Amino acid sequence: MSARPDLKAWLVMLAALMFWAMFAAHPVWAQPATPADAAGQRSFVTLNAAQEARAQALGRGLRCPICRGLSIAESPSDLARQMLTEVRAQVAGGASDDSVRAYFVTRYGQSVLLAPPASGLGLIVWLGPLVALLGGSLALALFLRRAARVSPKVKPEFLALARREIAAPPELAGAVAPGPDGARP
Amino acid sequence: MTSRAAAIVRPPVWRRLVLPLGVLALLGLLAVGLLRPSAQGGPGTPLAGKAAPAFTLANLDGGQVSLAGLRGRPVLINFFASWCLPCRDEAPMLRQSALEGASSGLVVLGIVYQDTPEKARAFRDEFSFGFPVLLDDPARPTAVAYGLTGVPETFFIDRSGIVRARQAGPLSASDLKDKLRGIL
Repeated sequence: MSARPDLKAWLVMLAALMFWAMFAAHPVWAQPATPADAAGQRSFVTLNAAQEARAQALGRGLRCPICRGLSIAESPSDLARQMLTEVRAQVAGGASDDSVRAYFVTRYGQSVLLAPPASGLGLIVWLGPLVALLGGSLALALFLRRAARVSPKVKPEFLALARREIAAPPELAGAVAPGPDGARP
Repeated sequence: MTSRAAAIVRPPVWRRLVLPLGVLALLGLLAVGLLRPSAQGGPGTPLAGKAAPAFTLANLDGGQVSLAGLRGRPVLINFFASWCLPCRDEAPMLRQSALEGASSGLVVLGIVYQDTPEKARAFRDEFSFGFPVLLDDPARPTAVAYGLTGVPETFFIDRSGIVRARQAGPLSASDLKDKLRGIL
């Protein structure tokens, strides 16, 4: 019965699949890292350079609800512009990053955040890939160790023959060693 | 294969259960994810059960309307635009609701979304809105304060100022009736 190596192989594949799925599904990696274009933004408040940078950074972390995978800092849609206007107004009013994000989560739901929070259920998304990587590495290491071990089903005389041939390969032009069943390849 | 060899190779029960149980757990998560009503696009809103975001906006006819001043009365807020076709479809129903609900204290407010005052005025006159039509504040958009994603969207606010329901997209007569009953 060769069920165990098969099980290991399946586990390794499952771990690899989970690992891939978690990274592929992670929204932050899917984002094109284009710089925000604030040129088209109508200004209602005056921000200093540091505040403007904060507003743009916050905007890059908020999803435009009517776009596909765009942040409100990147989307040229009217709604995204309006949302960024609100971000800038709140930054000008001295709101903290957390309170600006909370404002949008209260109104648009958790899905407005492009990166899930590193607390509560959001931790799964952050730690999941790490756990999958460690688990997958462990499963792979175990699998390889087992695979390297000699199965008791291998007959000692064939093993000895294989080792001899690895140590001193037969000349290709010369005699080719007979296969285990005596047939020539 | 002898039974003794089989007994050596056969993995313990928990090892044989790991894979099927893991797959089952993943399938369960998938089912939960697929069946959970989406936070956006559905009839609900994260604002449901929370205090309606306050606003003070200019009326098309001059003057201002403040939501805080309407405490104690049920309020229906309809975000609309003259360029929005479903808004045209539901406009007669809103007009009717404002007339019929007046006896129960219902206040209907229209808020213009991404449109010009002139076109909004023409729209209001075309459908003979008897209720106030307000212009959004471009510096602090009320649309964003309500988590709007498009028009039409309608919010139903009860007498104590709590958001009870939201309709994202066009209202049907029965939607309107059901949701109005929740705040009247």
